Amino acid sequence: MITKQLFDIINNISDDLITEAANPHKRIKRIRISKVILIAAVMVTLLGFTAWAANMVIVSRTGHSSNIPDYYTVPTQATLLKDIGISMNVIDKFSNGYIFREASVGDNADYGENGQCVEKFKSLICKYIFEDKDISVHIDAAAAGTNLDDDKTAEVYKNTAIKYISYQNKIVPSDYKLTAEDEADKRSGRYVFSYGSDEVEIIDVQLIEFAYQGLNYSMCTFNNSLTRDALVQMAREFIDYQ
Amino acid sequence: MEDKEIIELYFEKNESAVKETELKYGAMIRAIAFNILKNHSDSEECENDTYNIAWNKIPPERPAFLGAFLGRIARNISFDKYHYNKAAKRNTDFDITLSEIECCIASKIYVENETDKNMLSDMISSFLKSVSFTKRIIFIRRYWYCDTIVKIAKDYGFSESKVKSMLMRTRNALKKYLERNGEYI
Repeated sequence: MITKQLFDIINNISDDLITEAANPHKRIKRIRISKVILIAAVMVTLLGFTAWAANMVIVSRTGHSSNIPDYYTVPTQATLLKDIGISMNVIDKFSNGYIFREASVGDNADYGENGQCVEKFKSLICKYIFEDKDISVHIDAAAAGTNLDDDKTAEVYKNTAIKYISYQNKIVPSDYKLTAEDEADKRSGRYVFSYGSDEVEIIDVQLIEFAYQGLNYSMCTFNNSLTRDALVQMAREFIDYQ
Repeated sequence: MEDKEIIELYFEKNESAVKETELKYGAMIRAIAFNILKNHSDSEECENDTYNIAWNKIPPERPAFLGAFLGRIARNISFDKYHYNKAAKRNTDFDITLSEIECCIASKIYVENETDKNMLSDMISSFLKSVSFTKRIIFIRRYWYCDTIVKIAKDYGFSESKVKSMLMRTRNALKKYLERNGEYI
């Protein structure tokens, strides 16, 4: 079979399949779910605290973004204001070598106790890379604010509390049944469980959060040897860049 | 802007149709072209050509899936340019992508005309609808969107070896499917 024929045959597979792969179902997105959205949902539902927005209790958050980045170069402040209504400066590189790779726009919604939608909002998810590691920085203007409690504050910088946590996240398939050992691990706090992967996976999670000039920032990385202090320094650099 | 609204702009021959298309699908079109050509200036040229062709085709066409319609145009233009480029500018990643899929669509297949090609496309579509969501998405990202293994692995949080093994199993299953349903082999 000649190459052009082969190319044409693949070219003409169903439009609905092509469209599905361009905007895949939340099920697979959750694996990547910029894992930041997933982590936020995990913290709200499993760590036993709730976020408040306009005197309402937020009990869950959903979010999705396209797998094709919206920006391959650092978006300008004017572009972000026009595209997602957020005014901020995206840093292009950190002093530790992490550089901007790409960014996506996320569509998110916060839900209250009765399942009602409290707020819909857009977010910017930036990916920074260094060698084989990456860090996602999620920025939004949600009324719910950041999730971590004040006792997680690592440092106060320019009147901004930079908060930090680390834990192990056990991600399991959506139809996975927790074993007795899993239940024990969950109770003891050894693992935080979340759903949505193809296979059982345990990842080391580090999360930095801060709110600055009306925006909420979450910096999240997995299986990364960066220290808490190194991540806090990155938060300072982001704040300084505004 | 919704696809229906963009298509209406084309029907009205309103030039903001192209602007809205670029806003919504520009990144996708550029990504497809770059995956095949691995060259930014060629990719930009393909992107502009895609808008021109869409402008000329709509109307009379009224695509049900605008993204797929535009992506297909971009793929065709990119492929033609890929072959036009001299050997030094060839993209070995794309060559590898084609050779991977060729192995499972038997080389013995003799496709006489457009009808044969369309039937084979339909069979592949039916097969893909029968496999798991994850395998289907990764297959299409690799062989239609021409994403690299590295990108797919990073985007979906899998290791590269896992992506490769998923693709291999899916290709093997596709080959068996075609054999079972084939008058083709």
